[in-house]
Amino acid sequence: MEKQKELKIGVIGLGKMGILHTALLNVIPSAKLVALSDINRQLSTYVKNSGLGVPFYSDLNKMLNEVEMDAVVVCTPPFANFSIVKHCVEKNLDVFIEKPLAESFESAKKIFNLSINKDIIHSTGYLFGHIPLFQEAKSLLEKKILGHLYHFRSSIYISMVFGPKKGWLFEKSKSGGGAIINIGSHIIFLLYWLFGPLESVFSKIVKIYSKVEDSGTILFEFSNGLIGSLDVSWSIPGYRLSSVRTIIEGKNGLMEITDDYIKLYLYSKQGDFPKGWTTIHKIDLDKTSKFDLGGEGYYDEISHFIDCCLHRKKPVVSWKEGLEVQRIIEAIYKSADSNKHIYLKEVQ
Amino acid sequence: MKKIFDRIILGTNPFEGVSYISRTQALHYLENFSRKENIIPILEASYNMGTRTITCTNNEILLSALEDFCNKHDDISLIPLIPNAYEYAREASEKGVLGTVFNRIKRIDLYQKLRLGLRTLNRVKGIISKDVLALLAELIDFELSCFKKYNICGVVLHGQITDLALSSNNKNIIKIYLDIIKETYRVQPILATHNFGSLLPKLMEWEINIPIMAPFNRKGFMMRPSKKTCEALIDNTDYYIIAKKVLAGGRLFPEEAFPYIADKKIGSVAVGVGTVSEAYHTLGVAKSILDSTS
Repeated sequence: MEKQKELKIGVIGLGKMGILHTALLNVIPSAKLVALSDINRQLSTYVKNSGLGVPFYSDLNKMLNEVEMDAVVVCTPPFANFSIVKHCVEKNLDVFIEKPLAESFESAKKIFNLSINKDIIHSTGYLFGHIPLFQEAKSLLEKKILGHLYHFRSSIYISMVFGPKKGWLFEKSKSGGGAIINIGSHIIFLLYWLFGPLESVFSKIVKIYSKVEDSGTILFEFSNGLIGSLDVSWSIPGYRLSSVRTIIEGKNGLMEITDDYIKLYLYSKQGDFPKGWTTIHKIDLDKTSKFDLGGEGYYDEISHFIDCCLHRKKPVVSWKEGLEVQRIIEAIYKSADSNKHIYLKEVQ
Repeated sequence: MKKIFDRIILGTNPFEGVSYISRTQALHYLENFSRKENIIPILEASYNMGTRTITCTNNEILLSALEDFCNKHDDISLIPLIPNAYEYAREASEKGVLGTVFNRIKRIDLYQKLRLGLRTLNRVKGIISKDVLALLAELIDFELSCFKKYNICGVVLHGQITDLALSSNNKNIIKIYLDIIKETYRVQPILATHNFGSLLPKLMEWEINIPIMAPFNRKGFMMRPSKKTCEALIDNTDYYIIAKKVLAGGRLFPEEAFPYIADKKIGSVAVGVGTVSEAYHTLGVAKSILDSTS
């Protein structure tokens, strides 16, 4: 029997997401974890005790020079991504970057440009592209079940910030912003993925506890004429887990997409769906990932990247999609700063 | 199969604001069970249905309800789930990490405060260096300190920790947990997991035989890597299994759910209920179907 191909992979940045991806890579049969890196030397204790049996490097260049590998997963804070990714691309490694691509559109563009004329597989960690319920919603919209789309309203909430906070996450120069880039970027990706390119945005943001925004409201106009709104907050009680909701109105009816179900209301029978209400629960979707750590989608996301590297395929969420999300986020912040409508073509 | 725990165990996910049906339901649970007066009638209904074992966390409101309930009934056994990752995440986001710790400390007696205080330096060092072994030992002591006055028949290691140890191939985490629970607390350790199909073979390889709490349900919800693999493993094991998610997160009626469990080599079932009527119905059906099998 032919031996299964195996991708040698390293992880850079051992914060929450780095540890999660490290553990997941260790259970993917076609991945071989070969090295870990973080600038914090004290993390060598964690790696030593972790049972992973791989070398730890506090010097990234040393790791890249000493360890033979095919790909890396970059989980460093956004402001650090460009210089790290540059080294990795120079070594012709395939690169997965945890979202967002960078702390600014300018840096994200520089990262994307690194991939031009390079035969590397690149991906951005927008998880929603790997969650079966959202894939189902996309498939239904592609089948035009709602017909022409008119309007949507969307929200993402989590209970996370209820007082002044310190750390890179709360410094715009390092994280890129607050609730909008941190949690809102997930649903901005989802909207872009479902509805396509954007025409313009208008936004207002609120700083309650932090130097970055804690809440925001955004009006979108998509190139296909669809209009809608997004509410983002990380300072709202009652949401232990992030909570996503999007209600789309179309010619044939209405679709509500949440983390747990899709609800359809149709004015007449459309394909297999009857007139009236239909609910698709995620529990009823016959799509269980092979391993669960950290929540739904993470295993599928990283194993999809490994598969793309081994078979030289474009991932569902490449840096191109990551850059488009960052362009939208940049427009949102520009609009909030200027109190003006911002057209996406102005963000180049 | 040797009996280790009661056949039916009351789970407390709803009291913690956990729902797999919708975030709206979760929010309703969180609001409704923010008052112990809304928890106690459900505990009483479960008691009336014969349930004597309850899983729990160190959630402050749940503990307060259990205190009143256990003062009235002296035949209750608890199975704490540690560490209470959900509660830490929620409380830390609302009160900050220090606020969360201070809030917890209010419930611990003076002796333990001094003891924990003496070990604080180690704990802080553990967090900074992410020395998971040092951190785990401290967390176990810290979390179990709330349950000293209760009858404890087992302690469950949270699935997030079990599965992190499993995926990191880290036998030491599991060994340390077993040693502390068995030797210091002298009760039965249990491992919770969302990855039964990967955990059981690994535990066999590590020669660790310990009760496992894992999802088992007719729908295959959260049975990883697949329903078929989990079913095949359970048929050929002498490990004690506590089934959870038996109602598939609320998508199965009790009448559909429990017959599936009854004909499997499953020792106990942990099931959560969100209302008094649900307690009578669900536990009634569970009792009628499961009491005749074991």
